[in-house]
Amino acid sequence: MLTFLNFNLSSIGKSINYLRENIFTEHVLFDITIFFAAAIIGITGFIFVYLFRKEKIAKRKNILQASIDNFIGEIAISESENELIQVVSNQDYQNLLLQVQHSKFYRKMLINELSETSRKFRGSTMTNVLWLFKKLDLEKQLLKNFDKKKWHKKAKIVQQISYLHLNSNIEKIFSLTNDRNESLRMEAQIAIVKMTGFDGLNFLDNVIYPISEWQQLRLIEELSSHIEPKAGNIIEWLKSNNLTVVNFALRLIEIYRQYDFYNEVAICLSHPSISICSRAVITISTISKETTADLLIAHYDTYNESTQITILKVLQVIGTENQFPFLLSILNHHDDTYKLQAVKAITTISKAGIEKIEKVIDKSLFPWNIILSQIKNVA
Amino acid sequence: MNITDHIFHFLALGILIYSVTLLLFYMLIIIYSISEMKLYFRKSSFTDYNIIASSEFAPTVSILAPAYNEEKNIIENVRSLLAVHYNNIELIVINDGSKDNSLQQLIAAYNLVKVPFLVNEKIKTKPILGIYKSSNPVYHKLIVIDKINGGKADALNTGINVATNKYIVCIDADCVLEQDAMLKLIKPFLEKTNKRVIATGGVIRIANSCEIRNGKLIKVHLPRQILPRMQVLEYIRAFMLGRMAWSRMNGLLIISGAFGAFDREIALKAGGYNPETVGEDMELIVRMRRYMHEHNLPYKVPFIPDPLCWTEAPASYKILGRQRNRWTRGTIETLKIHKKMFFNYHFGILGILSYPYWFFFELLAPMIEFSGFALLVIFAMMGFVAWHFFLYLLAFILFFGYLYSVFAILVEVLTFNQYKKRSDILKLILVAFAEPIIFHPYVVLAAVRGNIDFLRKRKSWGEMTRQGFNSK
Repeated sequence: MLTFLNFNLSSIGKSINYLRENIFTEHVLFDITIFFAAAIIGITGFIFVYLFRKEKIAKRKNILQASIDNFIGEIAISESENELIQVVSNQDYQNLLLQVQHSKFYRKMLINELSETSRKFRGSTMTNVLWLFKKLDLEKQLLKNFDKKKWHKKAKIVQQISYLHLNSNIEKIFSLTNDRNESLRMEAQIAIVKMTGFDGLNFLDNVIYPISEWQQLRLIEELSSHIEPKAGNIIEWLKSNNLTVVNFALRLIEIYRQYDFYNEVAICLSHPSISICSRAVITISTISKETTADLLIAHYDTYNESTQITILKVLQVIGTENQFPFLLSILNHHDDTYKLQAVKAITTISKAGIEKIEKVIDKSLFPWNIILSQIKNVA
Repeated sequence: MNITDHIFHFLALGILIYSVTLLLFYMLIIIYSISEMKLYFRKSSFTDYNIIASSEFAPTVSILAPAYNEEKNIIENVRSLLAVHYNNIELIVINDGSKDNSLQQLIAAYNLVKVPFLVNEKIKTKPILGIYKSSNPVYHKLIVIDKINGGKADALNTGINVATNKYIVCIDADCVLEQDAMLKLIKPFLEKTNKRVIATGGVIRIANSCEIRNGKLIKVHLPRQILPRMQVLEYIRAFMLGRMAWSRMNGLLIISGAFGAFDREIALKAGGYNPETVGEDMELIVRMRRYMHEHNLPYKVPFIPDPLCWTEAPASYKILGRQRNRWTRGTIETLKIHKKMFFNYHFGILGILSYPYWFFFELLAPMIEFSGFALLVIFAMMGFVAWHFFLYLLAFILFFGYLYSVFAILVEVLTFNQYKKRSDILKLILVAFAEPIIFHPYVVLAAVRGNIDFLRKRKSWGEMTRQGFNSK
């Protein structure tokens, strides 16, 4: 045993010595430590040079910003082309424009400011900004090497094109609405809707990538500034293999109260995807008919918990006393959340509902005592 | 060579190999965090977060703020949370049996009245004494729960039971949020289409010495006291490098209890917070992730590098020691509960990389450091120490630590640059050099004590006395 132990220890010892003498030598450790020390000094130096340069650039930017702001301000309030020409001919601004012509930094800043102004304002301000943009031939600068640029720079340019309503680029942007890069694709979709309104939603016909909830919110927000809703190919979108397109189409029907698509939405209540069913429940409640409440009740048992709760909430709005037998049956559910929602639905539908409830429950017992007090308190 | 020589050399090489592996991990962290940060900044450069601030279609969120003896800041903090830039919220403050006047202050400040309220107790908690809502419509988003003391996890579980919204945001009542914190925290839940986002968190910053007015952060200052200043650097390293890198690998094991968002449905299915551990924040994330793995559900836990939440850091060694002791016990408890995942490939990156990393380099690190140092002293006394080798080793480890800290400062400067004065950055660099001498040994000692307390089955949270913010 002792011989065995001694043998093992001695072989470990040999291995350790080998490693120490050949790999982790003191010399190697020392060299690496020196490298670390040099890197620390280098990074520290870089930090302070960077901070110094940043401060310098910020100062330069501030001065330029003030000058550009004044210039754009005067352009924005001009009332005629003559006035615009006068502003541009002003000697101070001529100097600024000369710098813009020769410096990439100045040019980039002016383009950014013009696109931001165009995003924030409409009417004559936007027209004047666009006039200046064209006059200075900045579109060419903006689109220079567009195809060679990295995705985030391309996405930013797409955004600026839409702010500036440079509609000659619509085709180019439309081709990006199905791009492999998520961010670029999203910006292109938003841009196309910004520039063409509901017609821009045509990208939904072919989009193979999912449209995230975030993107759907952005598209809805963008559409809200376009007055005339158009249904487009909404029936096709409801049949899309891309579930997010179906979801978005249902949202559009809900927001714009598209009663004509009631039957198509009703079909979605039986969709294989539970998330689509859940969305369809909400959508159909906003374009409901007399028979909708019973239709939802017919699907109730096939749904998961959250969709069932959604139906109970929806019945508070679209239900009638005809649904009382169903709602009273829910009072036997083991989950208190169902009970609460059923009571809310019954009492919202009819003032007489509370009497019907009190006939089938013992109001002195938990949870009924709390539920009824809660309902009365809210009322 | 005799046996003592063998042991000595074995230990020396063991420490060296351990250190080299740790350094390799740190390098991996640096590479991954840079790549994740770059992606985040590129995406953020054209993102308008305000879209969901007032949109009626934005997801609904319940903010859960447990409060225990928080009377110093409670009114201001609730005001700050009510003013958060997000429309679809309800704020649930859970008074966890405070011994001070937290509840009375809330009742008076927000015109609260007790209301009947059905709580569906999906997670078992300590009894609720009352639920309060404001009679003033201005505060209609506020719900205050008064309950028997059961600890932070129990308070949060009560909040989860009461919450009605799809997402829950858990926040320490003493935290001050950035104006757009909620928008940034909720966005990841809406972005993913192929994987479900089950939780997300953001960077926590140190609020000591900062100017806070009406629950809002007015001006950022580097803490005047040395301990909070050390923690500034520590937090920058942990959040900007560590968590960003783990987020990139989808291997994040912790979302800070100070400010994190969760998918309520998954949190409930996973069973809510575990009141038996003092590391409830880490434990919940690990359990939620485990639930998703065991049900073969694709998911993600992303992390946001923006500074979203400011909190008061311990300014005394005593309080800091308690905090670190608790963190250690929480880590041990969590890793013990989920030991099944250790090197278990069924849990993917979580079992193969995250868990082992936490085990070897978070849990064992203080013990190895402490015992290594103790053995060094013993060997020195016995005359076996090859001093020059140990000094080289020590310098090697120390300088890597400095490099890692300086790199973290560089990342901070290049990204959010919260401390605008150049002198503040210089102070932070000096702090990086002082840290291994005046801060780190104490943290290691507190962690060792945490291990001992764990073995002695000590369960206490440890009182955290607040100094209160620098309000003007």
